[in-house]
Amino acid sequence: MGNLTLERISKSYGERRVLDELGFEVGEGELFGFVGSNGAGKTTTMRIVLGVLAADSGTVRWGGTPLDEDARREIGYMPEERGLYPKMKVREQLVYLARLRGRSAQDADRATDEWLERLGVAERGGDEVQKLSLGNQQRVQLAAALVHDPKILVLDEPFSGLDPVAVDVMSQVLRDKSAEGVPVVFSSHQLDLVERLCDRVGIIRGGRMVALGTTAELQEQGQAQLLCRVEGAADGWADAVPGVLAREGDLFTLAPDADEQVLLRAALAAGRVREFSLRRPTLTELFRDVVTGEKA
Amino acid sequence: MNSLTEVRLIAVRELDRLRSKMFVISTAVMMVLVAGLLIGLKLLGGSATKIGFVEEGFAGQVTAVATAMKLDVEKQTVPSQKEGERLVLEGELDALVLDGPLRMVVKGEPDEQLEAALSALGQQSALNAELVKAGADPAQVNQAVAGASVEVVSLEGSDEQRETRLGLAMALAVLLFIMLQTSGILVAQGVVEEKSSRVVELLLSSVRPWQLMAGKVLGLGLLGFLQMGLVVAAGVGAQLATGALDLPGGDLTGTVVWSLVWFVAGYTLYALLYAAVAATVSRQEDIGGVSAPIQILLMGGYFLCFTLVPADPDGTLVRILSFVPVFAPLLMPIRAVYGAPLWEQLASIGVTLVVIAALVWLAGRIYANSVLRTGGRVSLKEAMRAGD
Repeated sequence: MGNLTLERISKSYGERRVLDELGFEVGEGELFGFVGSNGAGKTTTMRIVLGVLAADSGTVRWGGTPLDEDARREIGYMPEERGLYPKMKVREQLVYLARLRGRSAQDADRATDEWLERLGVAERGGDEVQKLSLGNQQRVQLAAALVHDPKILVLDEPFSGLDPVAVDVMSQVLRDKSAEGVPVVFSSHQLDLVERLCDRVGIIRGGRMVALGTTAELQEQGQAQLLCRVEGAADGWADAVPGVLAREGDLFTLAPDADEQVLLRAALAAGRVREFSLRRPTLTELFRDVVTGEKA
Repeated sequence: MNSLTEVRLIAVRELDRLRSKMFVISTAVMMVLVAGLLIGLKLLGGSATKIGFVEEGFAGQVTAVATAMKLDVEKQTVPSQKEGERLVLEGELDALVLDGPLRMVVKGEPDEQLEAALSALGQQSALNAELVKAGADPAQVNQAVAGASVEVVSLEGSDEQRETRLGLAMALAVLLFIMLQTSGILVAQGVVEEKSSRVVELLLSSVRPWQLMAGKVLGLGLLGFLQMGLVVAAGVGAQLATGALDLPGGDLTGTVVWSLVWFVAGYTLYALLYAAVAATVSRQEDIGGVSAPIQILLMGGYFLCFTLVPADPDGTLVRILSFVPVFAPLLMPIRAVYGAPLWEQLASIGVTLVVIAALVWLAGRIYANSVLRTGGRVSLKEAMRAGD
């Protein structure tokens, strides 16, 4: 076991720089959420970790040593482009994939049965993959990432296309693997899920890591807002209050040095105050800020 | 894990096709065709002439003369002349031979060779009778006469042999062409299947591109070799049973050995080409277009086998072309039918192996640079240049 570390990874396609000195670390047993818009560089990053793509510069380390071919076989990978042999039987295919990653025939057999059972597709083991429903194909795809008992998990959009039950199964598997001490990296556009599951989150934009930390840390970095709901107040009651930078309905953004008590007094004067609270931004809001806010 | 272990695992997965109906049926059909061709040739070619005799004692002499004249006869004793004539009329017998004076009863026109043989026999007994009268020993005279036969030196072999060689060469050309073509296409389809199903990314997170390509080429090659071996074995079996092909044993053995050797060399060469071009496309329906140049080369060799080789199997042009590695896998085994010299076979194999070695590098590079690019077609120039 060990931490998975990406150090200053850069990659260009011709003139286009896809990754620009990207770096982050995922600790043992840590669930790391990797978010960013389409084309930000998430898939490229994961492919580089897996050695499917070569970086122009930078190093991927595991437990301090650069990942080599043998170490890469210990990664469980779910590519963004899902794919299995359509005409190969589920069970044979999983055994084959486990053996390609260096597991013995017995280990591969045992792990295949175990995961098919656990993911609820045991009775489909003898069927060709193409005969399965899309949902079940996704489960087999997850099994393909887990069947060799990986020491690192790298999953590209593991939740996309899953029904709510499968989302729960997937979440549980990710928690279980991280509880075993496996560093888990996954990308997702479902930010509520990332917020709920992940210990730490990295937001990538234009090939650079623009925000990195626990959800709480990121929220601290983001601008807090005040929720102030006043009954019976005239529309423009807060226009003249000093320190208010912006207002969206009942949500107020104050200048960093402003005193929220001034706003409260103005509210009390304007009508009956029903709600007055500090509101931390959600990950979705942070993401929107980070991704659209600053220009590169 | 040893990197060859993965190549072996990948090859073994390809061998799974052994269980497919397609493989079993196509192999069986080819085996039956080859064996059937030889058995049919035997049945059509030399059915024995059936001769009936009333007395068994006289039959031996007739057979001896017929054999001396290379005539294939089958003797049958009949109870009476009348019964013999009935069998001749019914077509059961080709001729009924009667003694003293020597007579030959046939249905319509007599078999010319048989007539000649019997005439010779008649003349022989007349001569023997005169020799005895003159006080000489017929056996001694006959021995002296038999020793005076003419020795034949054929420069091109008999017409019959030339026809046999031509038939064998054509059948072999068809077999090799079909085997090389289908095995090569199987490689191309396998490569594209992995691309179109996207499983290739998962595979390449476990193994290197060269291992994937090598395993596939090796596995499908073993499959093709097994199929080729079974078809050739069916042919050898039928030949041993019937002796349908009347050619020198050395030429036949050479043909079998070189067919198998050249199948392996030709398959490797063409499979690498197919794997490389197939990696540049993502859909099965694009294989045809992208592999057209390879198919043209293969077909070119095939047509040379039909046009150039039979006309002049040892001509300068044929000899030059059979050293060109893309044509050699078809031309050299066909030339083996005509007994091409060993050194030419070995030299041509050598040239082909050198080209295969270069292709391993080239195809490996094109494959590695193209196999993960899905979507549009990757141009060969791009595939050669891109350095991942």
